[in-house]
Amino acid sequence: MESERRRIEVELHARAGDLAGTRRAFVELPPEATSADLKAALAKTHPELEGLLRACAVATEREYLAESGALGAGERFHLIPPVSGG
Amino acid sequence: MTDRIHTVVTAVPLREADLVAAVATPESGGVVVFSGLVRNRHQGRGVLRIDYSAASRLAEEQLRVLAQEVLEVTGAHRVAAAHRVGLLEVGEASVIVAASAEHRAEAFEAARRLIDRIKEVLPVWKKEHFDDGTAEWAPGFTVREADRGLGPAGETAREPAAPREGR
Repeated sequence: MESERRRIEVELHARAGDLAGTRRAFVELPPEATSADLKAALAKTHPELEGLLRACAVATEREYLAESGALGAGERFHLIPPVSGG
Repeated sequence: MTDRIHTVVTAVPLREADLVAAVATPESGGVVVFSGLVRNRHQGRGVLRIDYSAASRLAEEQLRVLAQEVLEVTGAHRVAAAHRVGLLEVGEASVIVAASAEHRAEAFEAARRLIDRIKEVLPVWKKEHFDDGTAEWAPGFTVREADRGLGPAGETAREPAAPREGR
């Protein structure tokens, strides 16, 4: 049985924030949802992100998540478009 | 172990001397420092300044992870890395890495690996402000870190640049 969905806050960085017109997005997902599920949910709430999502990673405050990795109990995530530091 | 790495993501201007001091040990025969600077040209266009932003806590955490990883695979004595955020003028340092080792080969190797890994993985973004009044996010590297896993040698596959359209 699917466990309870809860509201997740996703910080949209750089180009992602510009495209969405906001730095924060909110989606509702259960704890067993994966990084790929989070991106799919964002594609629905913010269709303007769709072209970029394929190139984005999802991360917690500590680490990057695998596409198939469960989000777990956290309530804050980062959407990481291609990085350009250095 | 943690006294062997020194990392920071900061809005404060970077100073090479701080990083050299952080890595130098009595056992070290050499220190290699690399400073990345804001350049006044990008693909033929004039750049006035670059605005760097970061996923702050994640960037701090990842920079520590990268420094530790490089320390473990290179035999360097110590490594240090500092990344700047905020609006930087041409000529300012956006990133500095430093590594110390008994001999130069390990120090060069460590500094090289660390700056390469920073560019591939650190959650930092630059928006270039051009002299024609426009500003654009740099294309960057797609992060597939968690799927790829951290190879023992830190080998990385460079991803092609991200789509550039759609701003």
